[in-house]
Amino acid sequence: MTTDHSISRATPAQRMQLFFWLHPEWWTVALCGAAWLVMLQHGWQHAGHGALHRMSFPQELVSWLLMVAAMMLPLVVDSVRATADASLWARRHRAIAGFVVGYLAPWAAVGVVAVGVRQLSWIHTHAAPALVFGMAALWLLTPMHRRGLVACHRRRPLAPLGWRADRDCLAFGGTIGRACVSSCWPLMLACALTGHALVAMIGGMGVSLIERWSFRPRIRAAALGALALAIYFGVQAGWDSGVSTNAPHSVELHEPPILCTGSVAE
Amino acid sequence: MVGATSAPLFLGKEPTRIDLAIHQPTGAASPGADVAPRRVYLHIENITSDEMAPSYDVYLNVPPGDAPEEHPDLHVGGMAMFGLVEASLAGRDEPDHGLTYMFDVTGVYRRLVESGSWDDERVHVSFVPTRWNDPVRVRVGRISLHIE
Repeated sequence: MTTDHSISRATPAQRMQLFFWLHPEWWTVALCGAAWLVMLQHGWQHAGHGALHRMSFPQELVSWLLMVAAMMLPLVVDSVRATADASLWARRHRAIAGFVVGYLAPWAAVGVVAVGVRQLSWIHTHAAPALVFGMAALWLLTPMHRRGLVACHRRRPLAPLGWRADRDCLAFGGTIGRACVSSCWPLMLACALTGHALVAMIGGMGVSLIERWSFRPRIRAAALGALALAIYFGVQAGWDSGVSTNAPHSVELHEPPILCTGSVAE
Repeated sequence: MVGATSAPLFLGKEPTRIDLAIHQPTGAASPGADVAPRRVYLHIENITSDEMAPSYDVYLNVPPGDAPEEHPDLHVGGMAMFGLVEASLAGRDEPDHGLTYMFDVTGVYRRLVESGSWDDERVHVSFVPTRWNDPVRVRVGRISLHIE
């Protein structure tokens, strides 16, 4: 531990070095920030029609992983730090990388299913995310969700060196990733069905933060948050339906879905 | 972290001695760094069991062949096993990762360094149970040494 006196004498470069020493998780937070920037740009470009537009399978999968990185990595920063603290100094960042890869693997598997669902043309409505947000609100009240949430705080021993250390870091990330999936999958699926709309992503992350970053999980508040998102998209679905019904010459607003062929960050 | 066991180990009714390979501290805890006096911590992590277990006294670097109880100066603390079985099961508010103890062993470390008994490559940790009649099998996920 560096003393206050030595910190006051430190040059800016030394202070920066000290910051990176004390916060080995810095690049995970930076990765999350970068993912948010890409998703903000994506959400801004498709504001208002996120649920309706359609992307190719690879583009959707990249969007899903970016969304997971943006929304979920901040929730596991403590586990990332624990991984670094439990590793030899020289391999702290390698350990973190192993944890992150292990953590993202279960989410990628779920992402393949979610993206497969997004390929269905009839799912591109505001009613679909409204329904799944409603389902997420109910899921938050179930014992299965609570078990997953508790398991998100699990710790496991890590070997210090060699392939065992890499294996343990991957396994630790995978353990936390599976727990997070079992806890948050309906919320993330609903966010994906909105076409990664900013309202859904910011609201969904707020819901996750409410239940994760409190000493006692505020499940009811989180469920109310998810319900609010369900109502928001339900109102949008109703509005779409009303516009569609009242539109002159019965203009079809939903079919075919808007096809976006550019990259995620287009 | 400068050293840790690479696989889980088990404690029983008899005293147990564990050897731990350690490495030279680097980064903020390296000897050349501009740091305050070092703190040294011994972590006993993820202790689990299906059955109740006795308390254990923990000693650092007891000479081979000596009874740990003969070296009170090397005693770093006691591990109470109260709540061990409950901590080993996933509950409503806690996952099943068991108990974890962290001992500040800075004083013992300094005494060992001053007396020339500190080995920069290896540490011995001894566990001495209190008297216990029933069978005991306590799993320890990892023992690690941290210098900061």
